[in-house]
Order: sequence, then C-alpha cells, then structure tokens
Amino acid sequence: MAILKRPRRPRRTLMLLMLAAVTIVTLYYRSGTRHVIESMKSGARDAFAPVQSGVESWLRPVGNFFDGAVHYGTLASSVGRLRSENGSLERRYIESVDVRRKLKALLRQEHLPWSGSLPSVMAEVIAGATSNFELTVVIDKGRRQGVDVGMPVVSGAGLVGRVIEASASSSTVLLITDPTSSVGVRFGAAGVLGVAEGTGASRPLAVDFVPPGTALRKGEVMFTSGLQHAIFPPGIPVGRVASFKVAPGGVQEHIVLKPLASLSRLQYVSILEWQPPP
Amino acid sequence: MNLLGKFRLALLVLLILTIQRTILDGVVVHHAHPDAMVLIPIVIAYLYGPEKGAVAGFAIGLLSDLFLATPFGLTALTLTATAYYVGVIKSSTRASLWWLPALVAAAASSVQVVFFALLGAILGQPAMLQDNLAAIVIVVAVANGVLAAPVLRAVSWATASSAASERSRPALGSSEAGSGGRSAAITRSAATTRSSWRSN
Repeated sequence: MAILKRPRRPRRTLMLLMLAAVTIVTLYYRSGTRHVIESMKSGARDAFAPVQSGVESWLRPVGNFFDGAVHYGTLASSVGRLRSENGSLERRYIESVDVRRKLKALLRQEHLPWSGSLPSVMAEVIAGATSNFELTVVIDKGRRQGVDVGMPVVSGAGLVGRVIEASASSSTVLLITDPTSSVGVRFGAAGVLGVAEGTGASRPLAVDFVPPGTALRKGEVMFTSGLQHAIFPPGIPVGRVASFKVAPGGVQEHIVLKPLASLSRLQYVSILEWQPPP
Repeated sequence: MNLLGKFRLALLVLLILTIQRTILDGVVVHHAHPDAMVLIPIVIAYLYGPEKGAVAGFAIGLLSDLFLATPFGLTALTLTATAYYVGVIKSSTRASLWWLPALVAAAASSVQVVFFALLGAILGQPAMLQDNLAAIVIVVAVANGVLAAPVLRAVSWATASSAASERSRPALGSSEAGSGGRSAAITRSAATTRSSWRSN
C-alpha cells in the first residue's frame, strides 16, 4: 500500500454543507419553523407510503425470512388476529378489575373519563423502527383516518405507546419501552401513583416515585393514572409487576414492570381518539 | 457527473431507500438493523473523493432524515463529515486490495453511528447513547461491510457514463492545477478503483 501526498481538500464545500446542516438542525429546534419541517416530513412520508405499502405487501415474506420467520404470510396474519382477539379478551378481563375498583370510587365521586369508552381507529403495523435510535413502529393510518399526534395506542392487552408523528396516511408510534417514554401509572386499592419509564427494547419498564414499603404484589397490574396534564387517559392497563425491592437506604421502591402488550410482535393496534389536554 | 449519471444515481438511491424501509428495517439483530442509506455516500466518497462524497452525504442524509423521528438534519450533518473524510483518506492512498471497500464501509459506518449518537446526546437526547450502541455499531458495520461490494458495483454502474465523459474532456486531462485538475485526478482515481474492483 503506497501512501501518496494528500490532495488539496475541498474544505470550503465541507464547511458550507456542515453549516447548512447545523442551520437545519437549529431550525428544527425552533418552534416557529418546526412545523415547516414537519410538513415536509409528512409530505415525504405520504409520497412514499404507497410505495412502502405496495412493496411491503410483496416483500413482507422476504423480510420475515431474514427475521427468522419462514412461511409467515397468511398464517402470521391469522395468528396476529387471534393474538389480538385473545389480548382483547385479556384486556377486558383486566380492565374489569379496574372498573370494579372505580365503581366503588364513583359512588363517592363524579364520573371520570375512561379509555374503554373512547372511540378508536384500528391500524396495522407496516414497519418497525426507521432508526436504530428510537423504539417506534409505523402504522397504516394517519390524519385522514382521524389519527393525530399525541393519541394513545393500545393493543389487545394493554398500552403500546403514543403517536409522535402523523402524516395523511401513516403515523409513527413511540413505544412505551423507548428510553424517552414515561407513563404515569396508578395501582392498588389505594391508587398509589408512580411513573413507568422505558429502558430499551425488549426490556421491562422501571417504575419510579413509589415510596418504600408500599403494599405491592408480584403480578399486580398497573394502569395509566390519567392525572391532570397526563399524556394518557386513565385506566389503560400498562404492565404487570415482575419484581420489586428497596435498595438499602433507598428512598423509593425499585419496581420492574413487564408491559402487557407484546411489543416485539405487534401487528394490529388501536389508536384511541383522545388528545392530552393542552 | 452528467445528467444521465445523476438521474441513474437518484434512481439507485430511491431503490436502496425502498429496500431499507421495506426489508432491512425488519432485519433486526439484537435490537438493531442495518442502515444501507449510510453506505451510499461512503461509496460515492470512496469512488469520487471528498467533495462529491460530502455533497452526497448531505443530500442522502436529508432524505433519510425525512423518515426518522430523530432531530432533522442530524443524519445530514454526520453523513457529510463521514463521507468527506472517507474521500480524504481514500484519495491519500493508492490501494487496490479487494477487501478495502468492505473495510472502509464498515469502519466509516461505525464512526457515523457513534458520531450520530454523540451529537444526538449533545442535542438533548441522552437516550441515544444507550447501552445497545455497541450492538448497533456492530450490526451496521457488518451489514455495510457485506453490502459494500454490490452497492459499489451499483454506484459504479450508475455513474459509469458520466465518469467516462469527464475523462474524455481535454481541458480536465491537460492540467492538474485548480479544481479541474482535482476533478480529473479524482475521476482517474474512481476509474482506477472501479477497474481494480472488477479485476478482483
């Protein structure tokens, strides 16, 4: 290998392009111009959605082959539907536990909104995360079908995440396991509050702000709290307590929460037509 | 690069974008998937030098950013710098080893991924420096090392006529001075790279 004298580098081009890129990143963070960039992204996704959908339907078996699932096709579709129905039944059962608890409270309080009464839009997951640095899925419903940014997404069994980007015909959903995601949760007869935070793909959630000594049991289901300014409505099952302990000298319970929704095998989801309060 | 070359290159980019979004995004190994979009500017820089590599990195980075939820412009920023330095390093050597494109693709992809995560963390997304970063780097590097050969061949094909026409220009071939000289030198370098690739 011969080392030659370096040619004169076109640094000016590099500097100009880097400056342009930094300017674009800055504009993205400015609230005044962000909507322009978002509309560009939305337009690009809409333009690409038919291609993606079309190619996806043709090449999905190929992708699944590489992903370890041979002969997916119709069988996977049927399994997905059955899993969705099964999960839905499971969610109804779990929700009924929460409803019974709430009924007692409602005898004393006025009516509270509940996710079970919210209208929803069914959608199919058409793609996984577009980046290695975000835990998202792309669904085949967008603003045209009533989906908007901020809406909660549930599967049959429980909370999946929330819509973070919506174009006319597709949307991006941030999963609750993403490290940037946090969900206000409530559990137990006393309605103890906590915050469940994502810790990464295929990992359980970590629940913070629960005082040590709180009555807990393994397998207990936690629901969205729906407190004022919460980003999720109350009563959606989030996960089951996998383990809990208090570290020596700790000021809170270390709770591990396993999501109820099977986030690595999502195929059909429901988007709840609910917007967080401004 | 003439109009036909640019057109064919644009079609190639769209084809790889489609393959990325429909197939490669679903090939998940240890919660990470390959990123072939990173590979195109690296290959262009490898063939045509730092300037064209940087321009390709910027354009393809912006195109990628349209489909990502990460800060807009971040991919463009990191790909521009990565492709530029790939071009600089490649134009400083006269190597014709058959495995060099794969090695360069893997190393440059790793650098881009780490650079992307670091900048993302600086821009207020500390979760991008996740403990899965090593897996992401390995998956992207290995995949791009494997894909380097077909992508290099495809980019060579897409830009072949334009490189030939540039080589035939007497003004560029007659002088090494100035930007024309650099352009001619880069074009010759690209032709040498392509011919050595084919011979291997």
